[in-house]
Amino acid sequence: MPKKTNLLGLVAIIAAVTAFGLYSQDIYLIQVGTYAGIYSIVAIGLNLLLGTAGQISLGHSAFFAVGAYTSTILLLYTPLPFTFTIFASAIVAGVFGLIIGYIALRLKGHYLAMATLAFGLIVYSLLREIQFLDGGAGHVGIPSLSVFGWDLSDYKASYYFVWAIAAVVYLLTLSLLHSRVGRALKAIREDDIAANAMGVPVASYKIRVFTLSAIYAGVAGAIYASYLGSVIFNSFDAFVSVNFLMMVVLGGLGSIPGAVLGAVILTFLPELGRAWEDYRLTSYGLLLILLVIFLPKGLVDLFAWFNRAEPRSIRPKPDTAGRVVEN
Amino acid sequence: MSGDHHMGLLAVRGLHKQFGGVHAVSNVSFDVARGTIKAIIGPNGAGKTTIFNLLTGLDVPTGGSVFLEGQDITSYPPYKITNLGLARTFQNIRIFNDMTVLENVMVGRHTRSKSEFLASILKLPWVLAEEREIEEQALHLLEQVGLEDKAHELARNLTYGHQRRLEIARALATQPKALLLDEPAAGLNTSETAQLALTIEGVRQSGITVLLIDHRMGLVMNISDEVLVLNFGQVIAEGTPKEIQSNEQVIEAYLGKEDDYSPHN
Repeated sequence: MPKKTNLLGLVAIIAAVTAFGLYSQDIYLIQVGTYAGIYSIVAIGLNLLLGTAGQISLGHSAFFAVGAYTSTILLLYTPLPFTFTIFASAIVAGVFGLIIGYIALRLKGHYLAMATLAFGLIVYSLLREIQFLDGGAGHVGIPSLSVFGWDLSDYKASYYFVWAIAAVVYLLTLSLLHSRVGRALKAIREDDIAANAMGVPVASYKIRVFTLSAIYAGVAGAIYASYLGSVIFNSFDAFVSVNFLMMVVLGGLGSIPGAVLGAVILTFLPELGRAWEDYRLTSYGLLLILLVIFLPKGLVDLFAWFNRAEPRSIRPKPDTAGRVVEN
Repeated sequence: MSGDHHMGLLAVRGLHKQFGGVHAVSNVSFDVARGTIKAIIGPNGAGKTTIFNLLTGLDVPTGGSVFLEGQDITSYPPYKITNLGLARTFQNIRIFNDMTVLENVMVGRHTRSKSEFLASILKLPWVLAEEREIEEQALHLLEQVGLEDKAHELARNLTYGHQRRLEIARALATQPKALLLDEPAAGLNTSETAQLALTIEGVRQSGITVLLIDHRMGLVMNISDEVLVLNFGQVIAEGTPKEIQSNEQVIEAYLGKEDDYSPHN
């Protein structure tokens, strides 16, 4: 996706977030909007891993959880402020990402999906067991969001703070994408053998992009814990990982605005349709199938349709041997 | 090679590769002198591509060594070998399909540039300068292979012949000391092959040593300084094109007694 489109996407997101913040007086909707911002951070990071570098993770809820618990424990048992603990969350989640990234090096496709899924389940089970040992209530009474002593507990203050962080993450990711490193990551996605032969240290880059993606999830987790005020193990089950993955796929693999769009839609949709809660999994499955059939490149492809200079059909298509045939 | 005891730019000693019970490459030794064009020929399955994979680190040899400028690079990972100055193209084109033609070549500059994750995320001023430089060099290389007007197209949309040229440009972007071309003429028509010969000659003239695998005898015999012939993983002949053309073992390997090998032309 060209850089201009990504910048335009950011402008559109900032405008929409501000407009929503200014006009909506509904506390509940603003809260949902805040969660959408938190999940956007995770989705941008997962998109970098999956959409850009082509490495799947079905265990991102674990990195999110690690971030949430790290910050929570530090806030509850040490005098450290959130301004510090959010960095601690980033680091601890990053270390987990590094380890998983290293293990994942030898795995591809389905195998990588299974391994990361297992990692997510292990972290989930550990949190559950620890919580039962601890009395079973999870952690409550986490101090609300504040940075440098500036209280952000007001619902709109939290909302703007979260989206400001999301915007910064968006911009940083954008510059990474359009750099030597971003190109190398894309090359790994396209053909890791060729990338290696062209001088890209594939193994080290895979580990590093896993780490970075985990850091994003960790930061989001820290914000999530302080915003919600409590953490409990079942907020981090495998379905959460699948949900993160859906956000990225729905929005459009490889597109940063797509990741945010996916996060916003998949955060609001279930909330607006609480009455259909029972059909949630079914409708997700259906949505995924429809998506793969009609919009394999995600929702952002809808916008691309309008911008396409030439109709698709006259473009040369690769034949089964992967060669391009001119028509 | 001249009679002195120095090794060539690239020196291969007793290279061996076994896949299960198959000896794909056995005891292959040769030198490639700096600034020359050397061709490796041989019937299908003779082990030519395997040798390329062993030289570039995509496969690990079961025995033997590879030296680049005297340095033992055996079993180095591919990216390190590329960094030291060996670049290659692939028999079955391996371009980055969903990236633009320009981006493909820019990836080739990876090993000659240095901005890493943190610097790129923070977009430090020197990163931007480096990025501009990479783009300029990539555009220059595209001009060299005649693809400058395709720079912003997706690589997958190029014709087959253009994709082959793109692969060469991408490999040249790594600033190699030696370029390894694996069947660059496969699938090209006569005029494209003639064009390719000019490109390869140009590469050599710019000081880059060329090691070439191809089946097109016209091309190989015209542009090569030396030819190495393989059959069943072993060297059966080595010499100037003239010597090779009259070598009986070579003729037999190609024509066979039952005529079961035929070089594609």
